[in-house]
Amino acid sequence: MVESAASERLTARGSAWVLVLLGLNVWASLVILPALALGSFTRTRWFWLSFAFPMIPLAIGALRRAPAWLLLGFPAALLAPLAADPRLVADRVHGVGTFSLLVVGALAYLAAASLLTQDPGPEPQTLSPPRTLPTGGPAPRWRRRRRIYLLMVVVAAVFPLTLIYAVNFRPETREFLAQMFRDRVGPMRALMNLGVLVLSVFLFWHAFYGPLARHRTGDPPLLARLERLRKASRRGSPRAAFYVSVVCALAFMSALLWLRYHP
Amino acid sequence: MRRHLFEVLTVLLIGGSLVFFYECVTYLAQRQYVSALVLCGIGISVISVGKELARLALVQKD
Repeated sequence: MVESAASERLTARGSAWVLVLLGLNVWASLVILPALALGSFTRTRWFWLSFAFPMIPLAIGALRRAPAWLLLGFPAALLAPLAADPRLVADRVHGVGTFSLLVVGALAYLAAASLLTQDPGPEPQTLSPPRTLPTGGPAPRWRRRRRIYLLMVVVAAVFPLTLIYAVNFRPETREFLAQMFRDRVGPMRALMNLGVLVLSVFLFWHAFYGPLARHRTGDPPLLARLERLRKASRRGSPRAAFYVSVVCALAFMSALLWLRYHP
Repeated sequence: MRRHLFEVLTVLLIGGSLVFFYECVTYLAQRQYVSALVLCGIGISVISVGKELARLALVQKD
């Protein structure tokens, strides 16, 4: 029992280190190396304030093994230094080679964050008598389910990457943008990349995941969560999200006023 | 009565958030990215408050 607990602690520590190292790799590739090359540290003080900001959600997510911090908080926090110096993602900063390396690092981070933070499931029941496992590998139902999971991972990576390549690196698109929007190629490409993001999310949720979600039944944790949500929606008082949103709105407005009077 | 108050506030907040998003686009056009990000945050927060009030209005209706 003690050995098992110690082994679990070691595994948790190892997982946290793997996540931190992969996150650092993404952060360095996307923010630090371009910033050093372009001199962002000497250009704007906003960059000094924001460049280390993504480390906060990464550290919290790795320590708590929380998917929300790792899969949403860290990628969103990476936008802060990029907003402080947009040249970091401007045209010609990344070639096809360096962008491919960045993509491989980002996919490795996302895969690790998904795998290492998954729910271990319910504790095994110690009272039931031990049963022998059937031989011959997993049942066809589980093999089918794994194939679908793998397919979902592949389409989640391939579709956005293909669209990003078509927008940013395909010679015909570059030529077309240069002809059509001579002085506004950068903003147009940014707009098209935003469209790629929206289209990818829409395709995944409605074309790939949506049809399968309707057939997902018999998932006790999911059903329990739905029941909790149903009860919460009937509650007649504001939820925590209401107060958080009010505080966020006030904080953002204060920040905007501060920006206005301290340019 | 409370239901109607919540409904009016919901419409005001969700409609009002459009103003913040419009300003966000204006700031983007001026290449003031940090201010645009802050305005987008305000818009999302205001929409969240409106959404919560819409839920409360529905609860009152039931």
